[in-house]
Amino acid sequence: MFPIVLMAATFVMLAGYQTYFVLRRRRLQNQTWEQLISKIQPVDFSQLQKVAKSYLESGKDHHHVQPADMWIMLGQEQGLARLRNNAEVMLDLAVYAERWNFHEGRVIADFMRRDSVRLRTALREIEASFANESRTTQLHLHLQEISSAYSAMRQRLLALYENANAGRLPQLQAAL
Amino acid sequence: MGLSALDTVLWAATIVMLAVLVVTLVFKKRFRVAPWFTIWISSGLTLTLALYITYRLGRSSLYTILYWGWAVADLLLQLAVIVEIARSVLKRDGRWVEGSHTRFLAMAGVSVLLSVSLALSVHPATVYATDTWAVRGNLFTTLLICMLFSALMFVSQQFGLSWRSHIMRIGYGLTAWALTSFIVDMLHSYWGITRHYAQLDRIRNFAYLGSLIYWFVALWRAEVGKKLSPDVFSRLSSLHEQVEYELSDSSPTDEERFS
Repeated sequence: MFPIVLMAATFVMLAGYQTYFVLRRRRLQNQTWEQLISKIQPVDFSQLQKVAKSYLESGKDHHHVQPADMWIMLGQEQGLARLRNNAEVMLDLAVYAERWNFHEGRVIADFMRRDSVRLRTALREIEASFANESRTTQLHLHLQEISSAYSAMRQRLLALYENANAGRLPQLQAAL
Repeated sequence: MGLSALDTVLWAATIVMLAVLVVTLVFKKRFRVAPWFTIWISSGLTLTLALYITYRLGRSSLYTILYWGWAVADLLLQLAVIVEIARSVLKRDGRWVEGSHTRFLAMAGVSVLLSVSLALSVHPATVYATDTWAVRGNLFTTLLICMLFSALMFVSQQFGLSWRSHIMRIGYGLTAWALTSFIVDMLHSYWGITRHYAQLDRIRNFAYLGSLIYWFVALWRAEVGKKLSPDVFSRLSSLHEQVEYELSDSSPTDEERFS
């Protein structure tokens, strides 16, 4: 009896995940631009830019923002969760822009995807270090990586909208 | 050997739909997008015809050889279709999206191990050992296809990768049929090959017919979106690599990183 219960559970998991995937994809395709942009959560970009700049000026004096300050400037755990959410929404916004400028939208989405992988990898490193305190991590490097990747995504997305649909640029700038 | 009217209709409908799908793949030039899928469907047509004729002629030993020989070839071709879908989804302009294929391969390895373990864990009510292994073999095949396709969906979602519409629809048809087969094989593994065997197999065949009809409709229609031309890709790539260069220029040096 045990194997069939195990297999039924496997079936429920596989069918459930596949159904979720299909429904999520359909929902993404059907949502409006306004619905998408409303998912962006507020982020203090000026603070984030300071952390990203400490990355830019790393050759000179990259310790001018201390790791503890970076952590606070990025909004701590809540702030990082917002950045993760916004990175996903920005990727969706780039895919959405393929409707107006298919070629450029696709290329930029690919570049943003790379930034988003960098961002998520750094986030995972931070989460892992919180889960396992014995694990040593260079927190400030991961925070700088997150800020840099997020800034790059934002910059690419704004450039895409400037070319693809400038009418929506002010609204996007305000949201980001 | 007798064949009920329902089974005859089901067999004939499957052959007709396979033939229609092969014509669609060739006539609409969809074989360029999915060559392994085209080979799989074409071999399915040839072998379904061969099995029907052999069955009608009453050559049971030849039928058994063809059936099991095809089962192995069918699994290999289905895996080729999955790889074809994976290449389409995880590659961008000829290059794998960084990290995506290694993650998919790792998940594929786990899928193989899980499928083997689950298939070996069942002990169907059969008289002969060959029947037990037949049930386990079928279960392994359907489990593997379902898990690989789920893994592919998961990786594409993790990396935010969009799917070409025809490839997506080939995947939907394949997974719908594989999930139905999973239920059938799961029940075969519990009841063995005597109880409800024919009825359950009819469900699998109806699901296959349904997928064939779905593929025909989906592949007959034009694809949404187009492929990027190389010169446009090159121009935009250099523009965005410039942004990347400017940002990476500011990355910490190795010395700082490992200090």
